Amino acid sequence: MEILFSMAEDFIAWGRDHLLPDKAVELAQWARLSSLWPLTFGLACCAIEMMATGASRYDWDRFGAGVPRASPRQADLMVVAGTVTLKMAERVKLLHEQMADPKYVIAMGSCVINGGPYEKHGYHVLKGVDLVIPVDVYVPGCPPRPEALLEGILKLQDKIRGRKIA
Amino acid sequence: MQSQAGRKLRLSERVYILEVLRGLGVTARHFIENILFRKSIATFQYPEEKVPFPPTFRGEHRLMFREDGSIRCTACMLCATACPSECIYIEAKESPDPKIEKCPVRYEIDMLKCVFCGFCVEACPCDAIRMDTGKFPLPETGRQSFVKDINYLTNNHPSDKSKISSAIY
Repeated sequence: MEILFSMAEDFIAWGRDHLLPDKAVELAQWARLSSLWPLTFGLACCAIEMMATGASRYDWDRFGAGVPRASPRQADLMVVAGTVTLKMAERVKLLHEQMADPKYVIAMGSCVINGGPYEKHGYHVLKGVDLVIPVDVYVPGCPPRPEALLEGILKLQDKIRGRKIA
Repeated sequence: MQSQAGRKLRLSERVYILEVLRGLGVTARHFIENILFRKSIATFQYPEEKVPFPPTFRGEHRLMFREDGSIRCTACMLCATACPSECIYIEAKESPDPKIEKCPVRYEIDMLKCVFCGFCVEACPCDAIRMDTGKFPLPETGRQSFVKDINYLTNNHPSDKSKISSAIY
């Protein structure tokens, strides 16, 4: 009888370790990081480099991030690419609020990270998009190479893989 | 029945299904060509396969040395003044060499602020800073690790490039 009890305990422990939340969380994270659908959204010259990353030479579809959605309701990833002016900052914040959870933000380029060349005299530029929305990955460069944006996507995937759900 | 170019269509074109099959044949030919001979694929597999940057690519900075191994920078602040994004921070100290006035004790470049314009390289009268490392700063999840200090910049020489500058100033 005791053997049966211990076997049952072992089975429950095995299920706790292998079946229940951990595996489900891992599966959810795997699904999320393999289908980072970006929002079709570019503000300035960094967006040209983002388009180059989406084109066939660099092809971010290889990392599952290649289905740009025209609606923020369907998008997971917001690549803020280009100078965020003060007028645009409200719209960026609105778009970020319209995206469904879980949502991720990549700040691409110096302008987005902290004003870049407009830092000294830019009266109209937001000095860093993380003043209005939370940023997951910073991609420095002006503009970053497509390789750098791909590295940023890989970094974001690592971050999602390591994230615990509640 | 006429095509858009005004030419009269042949019977095989009017049947339509044959032309559809011909188009599918073109697609299938490209598919098989790209499966068998991967040379015609434009995509390169980035993290595994890296294509070298052009030689004029402005990447991460590096600080050069003189022939005697001392740092070339004289902390004259010209680069920090020319910088449009104010990403260079320099603290000077007295140079041990009596012929030279100052040398940097802190030389920090914030890679997040840097716009890679190369104005610091153009402004430098001593050829102390160069941007020819061919590396780009890697993305991070936080802001902390992007400030590159003098130890990093003086050791940022790629293996195929000399860290000694023989320029006369």
